Amino acid sequence: MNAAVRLTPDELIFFHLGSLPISATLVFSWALMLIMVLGSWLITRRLTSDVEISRGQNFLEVIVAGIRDQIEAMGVSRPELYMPFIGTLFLFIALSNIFAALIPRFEAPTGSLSTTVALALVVFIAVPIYGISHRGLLGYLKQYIEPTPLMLPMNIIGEISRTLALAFRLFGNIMSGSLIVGLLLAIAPFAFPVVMRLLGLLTGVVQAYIFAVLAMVYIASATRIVKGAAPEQAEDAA
Amino acid sequence: MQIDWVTVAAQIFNFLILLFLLKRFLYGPIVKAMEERRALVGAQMREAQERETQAEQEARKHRDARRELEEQHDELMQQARAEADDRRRQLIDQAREEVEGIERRWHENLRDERDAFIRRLREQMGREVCAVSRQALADLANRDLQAQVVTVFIGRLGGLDEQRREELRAALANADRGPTITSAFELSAGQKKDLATAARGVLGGDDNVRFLRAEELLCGVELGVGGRKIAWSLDSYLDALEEALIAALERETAEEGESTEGRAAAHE
Repeated sequence: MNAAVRLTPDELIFFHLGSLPISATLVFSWALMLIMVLGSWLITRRLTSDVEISRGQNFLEVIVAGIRDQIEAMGVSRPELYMPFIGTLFLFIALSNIFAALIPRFEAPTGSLSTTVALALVVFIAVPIYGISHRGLLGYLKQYIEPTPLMLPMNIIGEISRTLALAFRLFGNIMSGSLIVGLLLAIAPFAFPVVMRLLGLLTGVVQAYIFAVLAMVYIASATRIVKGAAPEQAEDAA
Repeated sequence: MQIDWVTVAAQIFNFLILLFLLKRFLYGPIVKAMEERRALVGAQMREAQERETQAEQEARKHRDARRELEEQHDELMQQARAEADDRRRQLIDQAREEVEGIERRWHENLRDERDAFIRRLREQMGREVCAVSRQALADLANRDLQAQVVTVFIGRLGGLDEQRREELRAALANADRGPTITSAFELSAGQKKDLATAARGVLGGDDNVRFLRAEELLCGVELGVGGRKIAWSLDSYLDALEEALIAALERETAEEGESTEGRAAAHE
């Protein structure tokens, strides 16, 4: 199947596990997961709390501390509670996009609508879990009838639509990036696709950042006692 | 462009596994290491701060000790300087006393020497005068000096006033021995006879006259009666000469002393 025609790695079936078709999305996701877990394990098995640390540990500490600082910058009191969830979202999306931009024939799992929907669903489920664990069930549900019970349908629609927006924003950006590169390869197969790849690298990291920040903003708004206008503002910016 | 729900479910599952594994292998260990390092650095900082405080205290203690030592040093120096000044003054006083002692002894020695010199000079001069007079008289009158001395003495005895003669006679009456004629030279028999006659003329009576010799009379002859004496010798002349000489020497010594004191004052 031609790369220019194929819009998503879901269409590329690698093999069948019984009756289940295993697509490139899953295969590349597993590969990515393997690299991330293996890399983390290799570096963190020899951690030291001394002042002298290895390059790998330094690299991972910079990433982890950066994620924690970003979460803290949003006014969250205990960033370590959200860091694994938000950090994993960011790292999975960012590495998926970076690998797709740097490694030939690597299809970004985030270019699949199934993956982005899955990640958006995870956020969709995580928001009430965090909200209820912080404010209790009633406290969480009360926010849907605020400022007035008349707003209940609007709030529910808003909840669903922002999850859909999360999924489609990421999918659209990544899919369009790889589609453009595929098209340009057919039209101008020399230096121009490289520039587009570099642009894809940039937009890939930016999209990962936006996805993670929005997820954090939704969780923060659900866990906060007083609701702010932050989610809407952040979404407008995206 | 469609959603494959199997893939969606698989991806949710994948994500949850990834979340668990990363929490287990990435966030947990890294956060733990960072917290441990933070605690370690904090402890080291506190330790360093404690050491710094301790070092500051030590430094302050050292500074105080040094200041104390410097003060002691100054005090000791002042004390030593005062002691040195005292010692110097003592030494100067001692030296001055020694110099004054030496000067005093020197003056005494000088005086002694002067006296001895004058004595020797007088004797020498007496002898010389005797010799010169003898020679001169012998040359001029063809008579020796002794005869001339005897003649002059006899003349002198003859020239004594009555009061003097009375005194001599009274002395003779109270004396337990007779009159004595002492001469510096050997008298001839004639001279002895003339002298005895002259003595008897003065004293009256015919007492036996004893003749003695005494070099220190210096060309002189002396009549001794009891405690009284009538004499002629070069002594009287020499006494005058001696007085003149002593006066001259004292003047000289006084001038020398003044100049010496002036030099000593200039040295100080």
